[in-house]
This record gives sequence, C-alpha cells and structure tokens, in this order.
Amino acid sequence: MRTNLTIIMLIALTGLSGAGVLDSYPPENAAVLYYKCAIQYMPSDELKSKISDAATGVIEIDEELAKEINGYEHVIKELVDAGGIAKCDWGIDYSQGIATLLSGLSDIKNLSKLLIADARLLCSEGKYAEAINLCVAAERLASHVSDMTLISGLVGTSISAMGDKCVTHILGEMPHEAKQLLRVKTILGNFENRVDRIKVGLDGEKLLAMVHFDPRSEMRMTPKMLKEFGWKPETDAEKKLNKILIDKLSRADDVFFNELTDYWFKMIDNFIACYDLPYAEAYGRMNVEIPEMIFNDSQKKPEATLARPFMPALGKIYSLSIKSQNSLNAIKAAVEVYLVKAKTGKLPGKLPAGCAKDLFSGKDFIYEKTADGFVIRCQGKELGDDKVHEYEFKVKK
Amino acid sequence: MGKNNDETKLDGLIHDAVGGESRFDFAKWKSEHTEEIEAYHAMNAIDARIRSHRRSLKVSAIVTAAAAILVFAFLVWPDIGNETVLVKPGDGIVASSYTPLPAHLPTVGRLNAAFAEGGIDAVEKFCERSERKSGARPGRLTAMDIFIEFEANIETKKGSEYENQSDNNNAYSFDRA
Repeated sequence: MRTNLTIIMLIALTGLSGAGVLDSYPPENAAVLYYKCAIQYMPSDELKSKISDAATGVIEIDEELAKEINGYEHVIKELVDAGGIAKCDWGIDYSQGIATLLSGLSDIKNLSKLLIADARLLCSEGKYAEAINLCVAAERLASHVSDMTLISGLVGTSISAMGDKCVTHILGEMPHEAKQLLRVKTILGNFENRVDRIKVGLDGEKLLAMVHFDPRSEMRMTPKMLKEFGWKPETDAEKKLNKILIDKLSRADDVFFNELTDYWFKMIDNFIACYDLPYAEAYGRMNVEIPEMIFNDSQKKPEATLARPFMPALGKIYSLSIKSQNSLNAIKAAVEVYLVKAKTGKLPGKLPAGCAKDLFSGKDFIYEKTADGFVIRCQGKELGDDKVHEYEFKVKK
Repeated sequence: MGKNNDETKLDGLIHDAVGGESRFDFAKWKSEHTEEIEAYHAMNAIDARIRSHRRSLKVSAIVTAAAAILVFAFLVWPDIGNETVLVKPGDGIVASSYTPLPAHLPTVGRLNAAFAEGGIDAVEKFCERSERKSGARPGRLTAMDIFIEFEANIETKKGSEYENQSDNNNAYSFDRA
C-alpha cells in the first residue's frame, strides 16, 4: 500500500518536472541565451579581430574566414532565437549602486560582430533575406542590451551603427525587386525607436541612484564613498559646502537625503522633457542650460553639490541616440528610393513623399543621385560634432 | 512492566472465575498449566507487534500525506519562500558596507567616467581590457575535451590515492567501446 502510494507520487512528480524541461526552449528570458552564446563563443584574438574587420566591412570574407564563421552556426542560431524573445532580464544587481557590475558588455559586442560578419557572408552568397534576418537579430541584441542602464545603451547604439552599415551594404547588393524591398521596409518599420530606447535605460539609472540616496541603505552615500568615487571640491563655494555635506552624510540626515532625491529626480525630469523638443532646442537645454543650472545650484545647495556627480551625461547620450535614429531614418528613406527604382526601373528625380525625416533639422532629407547610386544628406547639423551627416547608397548596374 | 501487568490481569481473571471468597493458590495452578500460560504470553506478544505495526503504518501515512501537501504547495505556489522583507523608515541606520571592487572591473561608475572622458570608444576599450584581465579562457571546449580531462584526473588519482588498492581500479576505468 505504502509502496504503491510512493510510486504514484514519483510518477506524478516525474511527469510534472519532465513537462518543464521539454518546454524550456526557447527560454522566456533572452539573456539566458545571450549568456549561453557568450560561453560558447570564444574565438582567438586573431580570429576575433578578423571577424570584427569583416563585420565593419574593412576586409572581404575569404574562404578560410567563412569556414570559421560557419563553425559558429549554433551560436548564431541561438542569437537569432534570443532576438525573438520579448523579455530580457540580465540579472543585474542594482543594489550596488554605481558600483554595480556590468559584466559581459564586451562579449555582447563581439557576438553582434559575429552576427553582422555572417550577414555580410550570406549577402556575398546571394542570400539577402537571410542576411537581413541577422541584421534584425543584431538590432534586437542592441535593444536588449540597452535595457540595463544608460551606459549599456551606448553599446547598443554602437551595435545599431554597425548593423545600419551592413543593411546599407545589403541594399546596394541585392536585386531591387518590390517584394524583397517591401519585406525590408516592414522589418525596418518594426525596429524600436532608438531615442525611446534610452528612456528604458534611464529606469535602471534611477534604481542605481536610489541605492545611494536612501539613508537606510547599506550603500547610502558616505564621505568615504564620495572620496572613493573621485569627487573633490574644486571651487571655493564647494569647499565651503564640503564641510556641511560631510556632516550631513556622516549623520545619514533623513531630511538631506530626501532633498537630494527630490533634486536629482527633478533634474532628470527636466532632461526627459527635452526629448519632446526639436533637436536644436533640446540639445541647447540638455547640454548647456540644465548643466549650468545644476552647476549654479551646486555652489549654493549641498543636495545639488552631491547630485551633480550622479547626473548621467544625458546631453551627450541624447545626441548619440538622435544620430543613431537618424541613420535608421535615412535607410528607411533609401528603401523608398529603391522601391521607386524597382517599380519604374530607374532612380527617382526627388525623394518620394512621406519618407522618414531628418531629426537634426526636423525636415526631409536631401536626396542626390551619384555616379554609382545616391546620397541621402541631413539638412541639419549634429551640433556636438558640428557635422552634417550623409549616407551613401549604391545601385548595381 | 508488560509481563507483571499480564500476570496481575491473569490472576484477576482466574480469581473472578473461581469466585472471590476462596483463596486460590496461583503458584500451584501455574505449575500445572504451563502450556496455557505460554500460549497466553505468545498471543499477547503477537497483539503487541500488530499494534506497533499499525501505529507505524499510521505515522507513515501521515508523513507521506504531509510531504505530498508540501510538494504540491511548492509546485502550485512558486512564491513560497520569496517573501519580501521591507525596511520601514525609522528602523534605524544600517552601517554602510561599501567595498570598492578591483579597478579593472566594469562598474557603472567607471564606465560612466570612461564615457565622460572618451565617449563610446573609451567605454568599449574599458570593457575589452576588463575581459582580458579577468583571465584567459580556453579557445574552444568540446565534450571530448571535458571527457579527456576528466579521465586524466582519474588516472592521476589512481596513481596516488589508489595505487595500493588494485581491487578497486576496475571501478574507475571507462569502457570506450
């Protein structure tokens, strides 16, 4: 009787646990696959460098390198699978504040290079749809890595830039058939907005700051920690405020920590509000006005003095995200041009109506035909670099 | 206690049977009825074993049922054991426990500082340097590599710890056929 009961229970439990194992792929969390891929992808420094050059188009992929890339097909397959998963929780321990480790960013960048190098290889073999699929996987990886913090979002921006170059290359190589181009148009239309992506990373940044701004946290800001993080009073006003600051931190003063939190969040909200403004205005506020306001406050209010080193470089990050989204917009506009060529057999005289806009100017891109294709140029400058960006697209004769 | 109790009980039964008034010589009766007395004790011993077995069956059933309830609860209620303990304001100041990590590790603060100094390139270089310093990795590790390494470890063990235990050697050999 007892033996029978035990057997029934064991069978029931085995059945339940077995069902879990069988249904576990793909996992619900994309990060599981990304970390798995990072463990499996361990090229030598020499091979890593070659794959990097191939991904950025510096070198052509020869037979030997193609064989090496194909040897990682199992990794590439799982990267594509990971791209199809909505949720990506990297298991970051935000409780360590700005001492939180962001391990694996370099591995993630290397994995993206493997994807893009393979996309270029497939393109050279005439497998354009498959090549575009790998660029989509790279963009998903960029999007997923941006979920951690603002700084990881920069790695995402860098991956997206590499992917854009590859898509531009594929568009120049593939036959311009309406069906194929409409597929690319749909895919690009589904890409996440790269400016909005930064806002997700900002949520992580808020968690990090709160760890240091909570007077009851083990990681609350202390005079010792302030020194460790490299903060030094520089101006006379800061030197005067330093004593007050150290006293308040040493006592874990509740009122002071509340003022600090309020001030930091108020300034972050000021930055976020700029995202809805036209580029030039937002750039001015984020890179000049708000930082100046914070600096001036930091010379009078101890909470602002302490909040200043915790302010992420949102102005710079905003510029990079606009540049990244503008590159995608230019590719979207180029696809419209290629579609006209697919339908009429020749390049249009002007940019088709309804194309994505140049974010630097808020206007249409400038379109010009060239000897081997066309150029899409911004009307506005990137203010930080004082540069007008242009994007070249080729057309096979 | 059991045996004395049985004898008192037996004495009482016989006393009741023969009548309360007369004095009964139990020692004499016992010497004349040894077989009946042995049979009575044997029956009592069997009864005790059955009672004990029944008790143990009851305990086993209760333990099994309790285990089944616990297993079921963990399966259908995954949050067991994950209760959040909230620190309320006024609970007192916790000692600060910040310990800086080794300088090559990519923390948010260090990557932010790298970005402030040299932009995205500086962030990527910091991450690459950190990866190199974190230690060498094998070029490629296959299941066969793991197997060979595992077998080599066992051979080493055989040569030292088990060198005088020739009888046990077969237990650590692998049949590769």
